[in-house]
Amino acid sequence: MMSKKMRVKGLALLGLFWFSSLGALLGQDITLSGIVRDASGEPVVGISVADTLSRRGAVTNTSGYFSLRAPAGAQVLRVSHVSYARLYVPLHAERDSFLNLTVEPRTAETVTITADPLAVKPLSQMSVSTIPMSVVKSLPALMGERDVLKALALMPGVTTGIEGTSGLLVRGGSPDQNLMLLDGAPVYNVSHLFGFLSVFNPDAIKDVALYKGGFPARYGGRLSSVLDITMREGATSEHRGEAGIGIISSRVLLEGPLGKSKKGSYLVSARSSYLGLLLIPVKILYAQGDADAYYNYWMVDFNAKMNYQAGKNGRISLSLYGGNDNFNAVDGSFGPESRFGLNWGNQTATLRYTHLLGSKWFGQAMGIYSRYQYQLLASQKDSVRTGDTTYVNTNRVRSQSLVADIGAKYKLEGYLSSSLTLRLGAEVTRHQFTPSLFRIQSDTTEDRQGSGSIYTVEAGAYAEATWKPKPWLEINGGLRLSAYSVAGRNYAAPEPRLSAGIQLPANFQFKGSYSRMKQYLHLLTNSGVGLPNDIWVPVTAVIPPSQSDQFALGLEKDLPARKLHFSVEAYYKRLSSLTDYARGSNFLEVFSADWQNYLLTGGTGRIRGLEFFAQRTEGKVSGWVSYTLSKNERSFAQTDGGAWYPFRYDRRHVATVAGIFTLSKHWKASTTFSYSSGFPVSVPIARAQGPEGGWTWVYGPKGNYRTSSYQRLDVGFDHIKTSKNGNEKIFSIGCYNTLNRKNPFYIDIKGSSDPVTNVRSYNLVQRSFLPILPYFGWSWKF
Amino acid sequence: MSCNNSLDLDIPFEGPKLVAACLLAPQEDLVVTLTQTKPPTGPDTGVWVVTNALVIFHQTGGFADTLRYDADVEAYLPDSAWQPTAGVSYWLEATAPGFQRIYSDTVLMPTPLPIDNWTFQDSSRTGINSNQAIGDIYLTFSATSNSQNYFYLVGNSYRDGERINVLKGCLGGDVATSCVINPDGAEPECIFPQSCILQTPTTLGYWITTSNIKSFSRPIPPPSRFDSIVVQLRTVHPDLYQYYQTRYQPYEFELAFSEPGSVHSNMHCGYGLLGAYSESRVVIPLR
Repeated sequence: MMSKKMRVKGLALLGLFWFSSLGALLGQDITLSGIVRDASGEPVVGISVADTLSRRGAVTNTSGYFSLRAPAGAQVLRVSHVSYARLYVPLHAERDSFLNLTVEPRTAETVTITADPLAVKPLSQMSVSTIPMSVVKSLPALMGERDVLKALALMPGVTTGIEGTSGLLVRGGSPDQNLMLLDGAPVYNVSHLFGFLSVFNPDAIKDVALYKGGFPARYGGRLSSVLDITMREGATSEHRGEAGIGIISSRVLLEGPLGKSKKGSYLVSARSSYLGLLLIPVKILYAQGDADAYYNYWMVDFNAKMNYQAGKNGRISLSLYGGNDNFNAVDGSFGPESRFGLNWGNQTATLRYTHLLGSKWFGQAMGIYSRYQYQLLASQKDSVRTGDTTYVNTNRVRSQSLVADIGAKYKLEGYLSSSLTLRLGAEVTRHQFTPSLFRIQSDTTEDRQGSGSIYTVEAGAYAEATWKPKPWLEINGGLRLSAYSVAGRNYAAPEPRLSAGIQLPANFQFKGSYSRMKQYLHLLTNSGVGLPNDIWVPVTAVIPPSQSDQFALGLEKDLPARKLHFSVEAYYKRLSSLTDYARGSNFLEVFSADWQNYLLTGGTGRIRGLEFFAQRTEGKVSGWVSYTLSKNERSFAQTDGGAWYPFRYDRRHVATVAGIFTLSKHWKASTTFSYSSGFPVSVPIARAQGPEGGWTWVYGPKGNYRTSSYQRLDVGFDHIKTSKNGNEKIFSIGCYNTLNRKNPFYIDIKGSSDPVTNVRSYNLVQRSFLPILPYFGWSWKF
Repeated sequence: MSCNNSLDLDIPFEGPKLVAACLLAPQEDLVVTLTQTKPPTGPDTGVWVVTNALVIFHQTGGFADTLRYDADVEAYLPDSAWQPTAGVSYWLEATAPGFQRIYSDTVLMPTPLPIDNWTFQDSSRTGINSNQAIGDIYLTFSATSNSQNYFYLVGNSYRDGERINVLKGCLGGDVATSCVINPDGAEPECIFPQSCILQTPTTLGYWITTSNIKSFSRPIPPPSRFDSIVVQLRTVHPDLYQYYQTRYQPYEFELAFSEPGSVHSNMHCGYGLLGAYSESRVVIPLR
């Protein structure tokens, strides 16, 4: 059932010939390559392109490029993706050909099309979660702020640290074990609004892929996951825009072709919060003495991307990201005024040149820059009386931290035959770490100290091959060599990678993988709390690089007629050379120059898990159900005699349900439910008098207590109105934490005194955030 | 948006245990405090001090002294004045009705490390209170090859025999700065293991204010120089070193950012510390 809207634009070099060729008679293969774009001209990532006659296929890469081998002569290409209407392209190619293909978004009429049995999914690929941006934008969200990371946290094996945080925990790994790439540039802190929102603006994102295991050799640098986010390139067909207004922020996006020849495109998007504006009355009241305190918060970010055709076979693009958060709190309720301020932000830039080397090779060169900085300011006024005069003094603390990367990458993808794809690449990054710059000033002291900057170089080279010797067997194997240099100390390590898939009868697929990953930097803070006090520090001569070895086995089954997909995966991950906080240390201490003293090193970890996933990708009711059973333990020789203890990110059971319901032409509803077991914390088992007087807590084994479970139900409704020219206006309304459950944030022991007896008592207190929060918002395209 | 949710659950209490504390130091009398633990949650009732215990202090070689409870100091003391001897090992035990017997690890009283020589120089530094008057002291010492030793360098200023609160801190020297810890992250003393000594003989610097501390906000009396500075180089037993490393416990909101832990204990079947240090000192007259 082909729609009239299905179009083929610019079939370069090709006509339709209905003659058999000599090449076909001889069974000669040719290469069909090209780029798939959507109607706006945006390259489409991960779309399947298959020849229905030879039943061979390929999947587009992050530039929308594909290459497949097919017999010379007649071909009928089928281009299919869950978000686009299926496209058939009849061809008669006798020699290598390059195609420009255009696909249309799936409409209400096309939504009932049955799933494509020929759709190409890499058979050897496993442990990868992808979510179309249309789904991300359909799910209910905190304050109506749709977020990529929040959506990914609903996938199996993925969750967030605690409520309101944006750092992902992937298969038990900590947030710093995730490599977050935005157009190839690493993003070191993904938190806006104290972690309630991530820095990735859904409007500007084209594709998201989260690798949880079975890592291809082209990725490296972190132990637990790779989140590869590709920014949109902008429409090449016409200038257009999109805007949205929500409770806490607004956003705008503009895109369009560059130049009259439309050989390029641009995209600019920006978001800004306006909590600060809403809070101005409180500030005025404070200034007038009618309020004890006020606070102020601003968040802003922007994305920009430009690309332009460079020569016949090349394209150059520049993508930029900049974001900043600024929080200030002033409190005069206790007399002298105190101030507390936090400022943090990321900037990234990627300059990319992609080019075709013949019909079989695709090359990409990148220059990247990434910077993350964090600053804490605190001041407290006090008064000092000397004689008859009272002097007011301000005590100040200022702390800064910084990490900055500059690097270059080059990769080659060779589609050598219908059964063999080769990827080669190399990359080098210079890191600058400034863990801490610290300044304290009081009435009588002024002290400046800091760790100074540490410069390191990290490099990697890889070779990766995807080989399909039989239609039912695909193997992806590769080797990555990583190297690292810091202050005259050099590290180098091979990182072997292997994954394989076997197509079984009845649409079953059996898969297995092994990956070794190295990590040459650490995050010194409990980022699970979501505060931006991230201090990135390098591997040094004292702190060795961490390593993970992950094994995974999986079974998948597709029911195309019912549009259903099922998978179950089991994994075992072993971590070594880990670091952790020494017991008793806290994040304030890691600002000091001797931060290495506050770390435990040489730790090991073991994580075992079983993930179940069922998904319906199309239809009026779509969504998924996932469940993860896992056990996550750590051991350090210095902690409890080396005994295994539950890691702070251990979640025995995690279950999620996500549903999207098309109620009518104009109304759509969505809901998500999340459940996870409580997380382990260390609570005291007694109080004892200390050797120097006073009393101290006596703690039992690490992780000796678990918080209550986390449960959250969100619901949302979208009213969609489409104008005659096809532009959408969407009004959204919904509710976060509809059950108003008090989910655990952290556990504390609170002391209080009885006003009558004056007896002091201590109670276990669970701190919670975010009760039921309704939201609404508008967005429209123009 | 935050809220608190008091949990009805009580944290399981392991039951009361004895807690003993004793610090062996030169020119300090032997004092052992004996208390009991309390439940972590619930009303803070009952007394800490255990008064009816049998506390025995042992010295290697067979000597043992039974201590008596002194209600004035709420601690157990020997009948006669007694001070520890360097190079001798000690341990203690205590029993009391209703409690399990506790006993300590054996602790070797460290031998003081002599200060070979020292220098003092009046100075000032722009980074410290905009040219605050300070003194730079450099000590030279020669540690033996025992890598299990720990050292604690601390200084104090005195006027009219009274210790003055001053600014002070470590200077660079022949000790790896990454090894130096400041107890509590606040007290500006220098504590480091012998393994961090870069060369022998070892020179290590220490600075300390030598007159009234400047103020940034108010006028102060004319600078008045202190009488003297006393610098102590302590040789610290490993258990005491571990106690210094762990004695700070995060509390309230800090618990959200930290990994809490117990302070170091070298008692068995209970808690507490038998610590020891010896010291060499120099007195530097300022007038």
